Amino acid sequence: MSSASFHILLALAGGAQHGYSIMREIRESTDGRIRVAPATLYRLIGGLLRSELIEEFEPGDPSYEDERRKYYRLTTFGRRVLTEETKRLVATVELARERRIIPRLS
Amino acid sequence: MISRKHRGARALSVVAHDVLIRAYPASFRAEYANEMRWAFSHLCADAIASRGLAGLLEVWIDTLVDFPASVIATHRERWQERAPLSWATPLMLTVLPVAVVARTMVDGADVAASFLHLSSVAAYCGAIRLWLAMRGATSAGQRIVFVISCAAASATFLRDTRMCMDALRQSPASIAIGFATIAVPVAAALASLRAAHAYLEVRKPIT
Repeated sequence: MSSASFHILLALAGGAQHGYSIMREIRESTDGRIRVAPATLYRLIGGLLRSELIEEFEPGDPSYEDERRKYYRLTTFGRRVLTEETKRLVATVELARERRIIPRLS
Repeated sequence: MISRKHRGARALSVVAHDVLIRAYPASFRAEYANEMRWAFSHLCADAIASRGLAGLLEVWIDTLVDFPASVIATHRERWQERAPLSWATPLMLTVLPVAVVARTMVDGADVAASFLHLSSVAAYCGAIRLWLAMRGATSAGQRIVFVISCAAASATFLRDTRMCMDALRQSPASIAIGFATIAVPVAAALASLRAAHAYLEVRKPIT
């Protein structure tokens, strides 16, 4: 899974969001290290929809920022994939710690 | 409060971005162009509000750096979705000339006869390819094309079978070579198609 796809899933783990909100969250949560342009964002969203990791969601609730926009949310399968991918990354980080690539947590 | 200059820069940026969007496949634009336009417009507004024209410049740099790779990737993905077996065509174009050359050299047939033979083999392979595509095809148009192709391939197959039977009566060794030049490439192509298809299905990445 690409880093950008992982961050899209991570952004949606907190609840349904529209495309721009996902872009903003990725930028903010990575301190601007990962910036996803609209074209790449929607290309990846298309792939995640086809893989059934996310689904379109109609808010029907005025509390949402702009209900005319397309909202996306994680599917159960998507959440499971996100969990497994996170575990894999944690295991990789642990390995890097063991090999002293990064310092151990005190 | 956004100044008139910044408002103009934002509007111009959105128009220029619309031009870039035209480079993406039509099906992708139909699904996402409005969302992309809206997201880009907000991206510009936020960048201008926080860092002025420098922020807008940064948005444009990101967009232009992303543009070539995303256009190519999107076209490739849509092309693969439309024609999941399109990679079969180069395979056929590799296998079939080999069959023609083999038949010309081994069987002593002239080039015109070999090309006629090539068209027969191409018809069979086209039918097989369409049959494979049909397994994932749902549109009525594709089904009609499949039926017509099968009918054409069947006519070619019957003609070749009659020719084979005539030749078999005259020269059993010759027809054995002829049969091998038809069967081997078709079987090889079909086996390769199945193996590659199965491999691609297994290796399909989650992007």
